[in-house]
Amino acid sequence: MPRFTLNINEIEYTVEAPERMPILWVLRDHLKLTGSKFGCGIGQCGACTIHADGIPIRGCCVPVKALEGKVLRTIEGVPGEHPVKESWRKFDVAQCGYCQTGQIMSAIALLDRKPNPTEEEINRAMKGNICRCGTYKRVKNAIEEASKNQIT
Amino acid sequence: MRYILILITLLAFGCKKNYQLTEAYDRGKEVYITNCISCHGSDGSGNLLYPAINSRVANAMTLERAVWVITQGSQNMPSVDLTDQEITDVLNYIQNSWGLETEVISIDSIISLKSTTKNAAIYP
Amino acid sequence: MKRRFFIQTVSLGSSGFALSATLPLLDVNGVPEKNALFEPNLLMSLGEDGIVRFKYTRHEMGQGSFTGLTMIFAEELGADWEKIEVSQADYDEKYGNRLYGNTGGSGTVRRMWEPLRELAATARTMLVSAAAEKMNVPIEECFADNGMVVHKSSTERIPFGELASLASHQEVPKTVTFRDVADYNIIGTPKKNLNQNKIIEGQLQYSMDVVIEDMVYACIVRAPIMGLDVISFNSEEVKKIEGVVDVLQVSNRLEEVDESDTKTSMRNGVAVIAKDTWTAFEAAEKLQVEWTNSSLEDGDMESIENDLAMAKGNSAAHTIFETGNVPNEFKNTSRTFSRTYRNPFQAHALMEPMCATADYREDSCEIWSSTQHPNRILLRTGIVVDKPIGFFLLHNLPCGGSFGRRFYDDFITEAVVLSKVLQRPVKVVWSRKDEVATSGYHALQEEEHTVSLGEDGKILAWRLREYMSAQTEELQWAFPFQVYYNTQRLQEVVQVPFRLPIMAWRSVQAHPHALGLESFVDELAEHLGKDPLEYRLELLENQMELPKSFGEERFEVNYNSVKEILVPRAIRVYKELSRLRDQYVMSNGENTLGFAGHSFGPTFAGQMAEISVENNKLKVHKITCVVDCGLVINPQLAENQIEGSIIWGLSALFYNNVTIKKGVVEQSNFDDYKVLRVDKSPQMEVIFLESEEAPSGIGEPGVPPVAPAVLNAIYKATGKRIRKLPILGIDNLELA
Repeated sequence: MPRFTLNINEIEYTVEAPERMPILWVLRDHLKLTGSKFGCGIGQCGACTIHADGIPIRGCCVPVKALEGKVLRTIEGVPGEHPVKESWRKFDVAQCGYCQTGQIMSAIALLDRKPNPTEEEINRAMKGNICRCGTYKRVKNAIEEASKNQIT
Repeated sequence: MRYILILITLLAFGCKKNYQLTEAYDRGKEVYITNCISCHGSDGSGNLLYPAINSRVANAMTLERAVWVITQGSQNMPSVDLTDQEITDVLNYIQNSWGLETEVISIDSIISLKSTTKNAAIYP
Repeated sequence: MKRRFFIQTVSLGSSGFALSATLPLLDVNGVPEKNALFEPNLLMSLGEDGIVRFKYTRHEMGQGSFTGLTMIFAEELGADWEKIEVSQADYDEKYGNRLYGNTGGSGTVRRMWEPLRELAATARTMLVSAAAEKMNVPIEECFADNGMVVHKSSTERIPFGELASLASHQEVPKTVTFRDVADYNIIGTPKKNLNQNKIIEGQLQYSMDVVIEDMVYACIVRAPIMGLDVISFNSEEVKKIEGVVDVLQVSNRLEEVDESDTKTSMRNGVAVIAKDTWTAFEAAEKLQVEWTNSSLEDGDMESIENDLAMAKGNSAAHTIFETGNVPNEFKNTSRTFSRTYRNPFQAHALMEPMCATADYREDSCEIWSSTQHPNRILLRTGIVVDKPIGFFLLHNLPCGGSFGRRFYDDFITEAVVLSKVLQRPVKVVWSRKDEVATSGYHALQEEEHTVSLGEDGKILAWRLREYMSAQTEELQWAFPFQVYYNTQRLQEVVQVPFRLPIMAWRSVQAHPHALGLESFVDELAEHLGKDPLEYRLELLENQMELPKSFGEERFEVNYNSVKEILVPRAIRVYKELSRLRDQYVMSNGENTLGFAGHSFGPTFAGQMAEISVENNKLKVHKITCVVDCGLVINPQLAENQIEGSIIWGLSALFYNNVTIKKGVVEQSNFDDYKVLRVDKSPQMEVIFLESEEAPSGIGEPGVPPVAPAVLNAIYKATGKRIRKLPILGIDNLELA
């Protein structure tokens, strides 16, 4: 079994896994980092969104081999006082919450790229994250709020 | 009306370097990040599981085929729920990034391709 | 009259709670709560630290009742909101149906409203009594407030924690008085979702996140058509894949169990057992299963149309509601108006695919999963492995959306059966394809409305014929309540033997019912040259008396009492919608408006859709929802529920459509079973009409009006009447 060294949330992990195994399952089943969720397996719902070198990726589609040497961040690596988490709390965004860690990771990556996104830009960046509870309005409100509260 | 304005803008920036400075290019990049980057990579080189789209060979795929795969899916790729504008932007982004350079496509040609390929099960 | 729900004295002897109030509180392992000094009932304990520990005995699936029930209990107890802790109770029969019944029908708050207040009021009375004893003052001079008992005149106050021990020695009161709504300081305030922090940190544990020592992962290839059985499979080949532990057949050998109450919803299949989820998924892709034949294999959408046509021509109609003599009226009439509306098959597509972990031992079986109906599920699972409900210890974890799906036992039974065979903990994980393609569905249904009209346009008789899946439970026939009892009516069900298994789906029968009824009323108003909102109010204000015992015999539904609650609520809602329309017109709004309303249980919700259609491109700009659901426990979470319902309804309106080919469902994931995404999500506004009546449910009532409100607006904007879902693609309609 191939061995990989991964940098996740500033911690170095060594895992043994098939090289084709998507990072989502390495995180969830091997490392027990279960904050990233399984939703569709084909990159359509965004529940598994994490960051690789700051770029939001769907963990269910990216094999572990492709992520060696990259700086990975999952929801567990985002501090509780991060402006996006704070505004998620303020707007009480989550209902069932299952998609929300993915929503938050997409939102953080968006604000890192575009600190003051327009509504259109928010839609473009967030349409890869499905929420069946229908929290979209609050997701947008929370992103707008977080964009105001960013530490610049 | 808006579409026409955009089209004129795009025509004005015919060459790659200038196109990369346009809002349209940035929109395309954003669409790419949201919908494509996980499988095809930030440099279009794909990964172990999914193919590269940054080479001339990949770009030789006809526009019809590209529009078909995005809207209808293929054996290896699910269809992606994109608007006509998003399809236009992302295809222009792909065809004018990573050292590639192609003539900018208009949204009208995408709409027209969409309707011609819609019911024709010509692509596996 | 309005206050009747609040200033209330309850005799505990009659409710059966005196008994449970004297029991010591045990958690499921039989160990008393740590440091608990006062355990007045099964749901609460209090220690010296003054923290009230409350057990939540329903299933949290995003609807917010984990927070809502805690608020009700805290309010009635007079607790300090900062000093109450809630935890999910494992399922135990000791709670009984009243405390741990099913979570469904938007009924958690509605059904728990009385029992929770009884338990809390009993505990409060004992705390007050303890304080009176300690202060040596008459009990009448003391009251509980914000986690303390206060002596009125001296304003001396003692925190709950200091009273815990003494309270446990107080006599259990025979009657209790509920707090007055005017004194409420928790109910009616926007308390945050108590799971919010854990969710944001990725720390809320869903079924998917369960890890048990020595556990293996299972992915099951299920019968593509319900009822098919396994003939053979390439076991040896799949077993060679690295990481695969075993390949096992899963059989539902209980086909002879006919009772729908006890029959498992599990399909036959073959399970791939592996060391991790992904390996199980990958290996399952390589599994080749030969299935038995089925007559359903020739089923496609055409045969569904044939089934429907056959039923229309030949099947007997079951009368479920009748006043007057409608058939007679139709014989003599010269002017009828008739329209038919169709709801398609729809899947749940909940975010967290089903998942269950079971650890089957000789003397007990521990289960970690999420279920809306633990009692029924364990009964069914128990029948499969021949064990009583008490054999199972079920940890009912919060789920990533259910919408009716987790009412059924299949995924839990699978885990139990596999763990029994493998003699180790097994986690069954459904893929998205499993969830979309081998599930149960909201049924295709047609609603045919016909009225006979007099010269003056007055409705002389009204018939609704519903063409409904034969699998739909009879209880559901009578469920979507009418509000237009303005004329003699006949409501009939014609059963159609559709092939797909049926499951409950957010707002169940109210969805097709509202689609038909509320589109039809709009069409009728137009036909008669009347304004759609004024016409609804006209119909609502001319109500007939219904035969007193009507509907009670078969369904225990008392239409008169339902009518008494719903009709005034509907009138209030439509009047508010009229006001909103005037306001919109006054503000020179540019978009086209459409309206619809419907009941769900005792809640009534009405909606105003603002839309535009240009060159076949539809944009839903905004949906405003007016709700009368009685007292609102938590305005913030209630608003979330209505917003979510609107999004759910729009997904159904635009996209949701399950189709079959050769008997097999054609959709498999979010690419071919689309749901609404953020970019097409409209603006939303929610208005709760003020009420002090008992709370009546909020999880589903926002769904049914969505489709007809938007369809009515589309007609107004385009002159085209669409009578079936989903609407995208019909006459090339697209979203802008």
